[in-house]
Amino acid sequence: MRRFFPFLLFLFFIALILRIDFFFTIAYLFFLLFVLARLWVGRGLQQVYFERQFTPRAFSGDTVAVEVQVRNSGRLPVPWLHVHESLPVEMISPPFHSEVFSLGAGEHRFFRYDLHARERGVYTLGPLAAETGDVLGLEPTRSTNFGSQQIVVYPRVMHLPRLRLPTRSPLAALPARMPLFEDPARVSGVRDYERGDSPRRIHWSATASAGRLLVKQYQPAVARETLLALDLNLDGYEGRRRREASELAIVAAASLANHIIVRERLAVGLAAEALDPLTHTRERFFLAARSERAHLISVLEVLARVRLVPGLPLGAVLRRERPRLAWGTTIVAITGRADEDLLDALAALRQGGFAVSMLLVQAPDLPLLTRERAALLGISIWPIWREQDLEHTP
Amino acid sequence: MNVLRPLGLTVMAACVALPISQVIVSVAPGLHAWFLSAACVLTVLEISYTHRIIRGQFGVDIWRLRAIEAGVYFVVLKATSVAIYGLPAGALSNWLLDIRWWLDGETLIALVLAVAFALAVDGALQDFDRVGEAAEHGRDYISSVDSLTGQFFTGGVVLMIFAGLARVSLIEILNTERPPVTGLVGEVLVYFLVGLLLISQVRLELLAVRWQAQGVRTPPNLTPRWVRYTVAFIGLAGLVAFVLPTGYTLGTLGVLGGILSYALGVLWIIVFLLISLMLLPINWLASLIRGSAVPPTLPAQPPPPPPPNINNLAQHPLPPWLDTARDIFVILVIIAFVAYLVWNYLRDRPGLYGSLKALAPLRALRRFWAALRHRVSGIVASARETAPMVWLRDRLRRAAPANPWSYFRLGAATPREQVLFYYLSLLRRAGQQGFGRRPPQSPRDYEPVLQENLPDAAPELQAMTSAFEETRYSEHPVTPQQAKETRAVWQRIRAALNGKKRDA
Repeated sequence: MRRFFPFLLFLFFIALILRIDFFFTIAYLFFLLFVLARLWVGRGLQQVYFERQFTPRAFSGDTVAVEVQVRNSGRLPVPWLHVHESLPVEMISPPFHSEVFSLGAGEHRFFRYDLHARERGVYTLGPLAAETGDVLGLEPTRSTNFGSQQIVVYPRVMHLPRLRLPTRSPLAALPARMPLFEDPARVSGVRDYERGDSPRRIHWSATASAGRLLVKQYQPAVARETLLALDLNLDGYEGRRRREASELAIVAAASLANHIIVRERLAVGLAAEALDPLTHTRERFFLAARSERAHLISVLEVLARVRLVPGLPLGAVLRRERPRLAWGTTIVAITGRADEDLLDALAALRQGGFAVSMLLVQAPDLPLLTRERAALLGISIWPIWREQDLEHTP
Repeated sequence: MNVLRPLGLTVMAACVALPISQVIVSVAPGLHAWFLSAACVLTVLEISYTHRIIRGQFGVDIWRLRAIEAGVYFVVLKATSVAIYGLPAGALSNWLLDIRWWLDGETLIALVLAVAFALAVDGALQDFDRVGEAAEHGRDYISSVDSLTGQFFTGGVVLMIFAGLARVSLIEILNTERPPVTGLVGEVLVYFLVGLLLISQVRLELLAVRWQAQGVRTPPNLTPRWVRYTVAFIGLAGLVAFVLPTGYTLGTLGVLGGILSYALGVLWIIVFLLISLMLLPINWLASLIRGSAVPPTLPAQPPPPPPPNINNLAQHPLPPWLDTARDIFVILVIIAFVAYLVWNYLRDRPGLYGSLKALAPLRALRRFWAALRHRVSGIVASARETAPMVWLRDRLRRAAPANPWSYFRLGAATPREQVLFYYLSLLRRAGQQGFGRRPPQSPRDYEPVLQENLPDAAPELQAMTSAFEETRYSEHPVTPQQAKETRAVWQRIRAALNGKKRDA
């Protein structure tokens, strides 16, 4: 409040000169208003807490409801509190939410808003700025910022009705096919002992319960591993359709990972070199093949945030990660450009005992020679132009 | 608002008009204070209620209308005067043509006051209309709120001056020995209370306009709460203000004069001694040259100014010790308040504070103060180490119980201590419910046990364990915000624990 200090000093001066007791009381009144306003505003913000409740993970196309609780945990009321929450423009328009509250002592309020997960990515909710002041304007308004939180939007996952990826692993027999080998780590049941069964297969506890010899039955070995090699090099996609093609490639990778882990219950890994927006640096991503659902989430987490970056071509990435691959791994290269370097890398992998295939995303037609060479090497190539094409992936 | 604001302004104008009229009447006893006050109040009332209508219809042509209004005021005042006091004796033509009858003192003064009040209130009403307008760029721009508060303060100062003059004559003001004026000054109280309420309302309107421009929805309960908080805030400050002491019997200026006399006396003695010491060798040399047998001596010290007689300062021959203590307390309170105001003023203006600090006398004073503090703290430290003090301290320490009762104040704890407190509280409560931590278990080992027993609070338990680990085993700084977040986590865990206890 402008001229408040000169006014107050003048009040004391007048009171001193005139020696009228009540004028001192008036001067005290204004002085106390000033001091109490300062204390009130200072304490007010310190005792206000905020808490956001929302699902921190969502898929593209989902609507995420966010509820923010504003709580005054102190004994002093807060006459007015203006909160302004910054939100990602990709998920809500306008990219903020503002509310004004009046909070009594111990009171809490909620406000809600919906976020629309249109695109994959890692988005930041907040920071939440809160501003308050006193009722007379004696003290300048004070504001503070509360922390921000992240929400991860996974890429869209398409439903793949079937997937026949090639395999070179003698242990990799899909359940629909004839099992050639058994996995001794997976007991699927018991059966009566037959002559010739190894004593090691006797299930002693079941035998004791049943009163007759029972042996264990094992599930077919399902050890096929798949590595999704995702090309996120800027030069890996045509200039005009670069963004759209790379997004389609990521959707393809997510859909494949989901199908392999959830439907086929097999292991899948991910290899890519991309820009990580969290660190703003080029990062090398390698997730070893695993078959748990939690691993699928890890894969989707990575796919949610990776971005195109000028970096290593996919062929170089494959060559670099080759020593980490288990024998018999099926490699699926997802890229928008099938150049000679990539074909050479895939050919080398094939000769090394790996099964390879390629998903070409919005790529121009391959030259005849390249197609013939790929066929000769046994590299199956599937072009996709739209998300719906994934449903028809052989 | 179309009713309350004009009413408030009218009440405030009445509060200001009353003492002004009283002072005028004290100077010119033939006039009538009520007449002058009524002229002002009715003018303000008329201006307040016609302001909006006139602005809307006449726009910039308002001054011509105001001039006509002033003429109408004059006629009304004269007619009222005639109605009250009657017509003067003599022939009609005599007094109708007599300019002195028309422009008599009371009418003129009433007219001048009415016009002055009308202008002031019109300005205030214009500022009320401007509340929330976009700020203009320019050095001379004053926002409507600043203008209103400035007018409020100015009116308050004018009111207090005239209210004071209405109670203390000008001659008496110069008399520092007069007794203080006690009792309530109603018009001052009403003026400031109504003014503060109006300022609060303006503040709310300003915020509401700003929020509306930003598209922010304001809750419907904001206005009634605002009113309640304003009344409570002013009421609390007023209650404390009425309790604080204000009366003192010692003449203020006399006390200040006495303090000054004492200080000057001490300074006089110091200066005299220094000059005497400097002149002593010169005097001795002079005596050698003169060959005088009389040894040089210090000149006779002229007496310093006598200190004031404290008995003459007080209204009583010798005030009781309680009165004296109260008086000193009042003066100290006033000095403390003023000092706090000045300190806050400077703290909010770092540029000005820096300029003042750079002044040479203040720099010297700060250096002196720092040296004095250093010397005093050194003396105190060495005094502590003297044998009796050491013996006494050791004796007291030995006498202290092994586990003295200590009260842990969470609010006074550091953020690191607070985080540790929350985790240890979790351990204690979990132990009370039968799934306490076993000694060999680390926090990470114990976390699955907690999650098994409190599955609904699994994320919070993980967060709490992580916070404790970082606080206990690392040297990372723990911020108050982290402590606050841990507290929120602890409250949720505690709710889960209470729920489990109820279910059991």
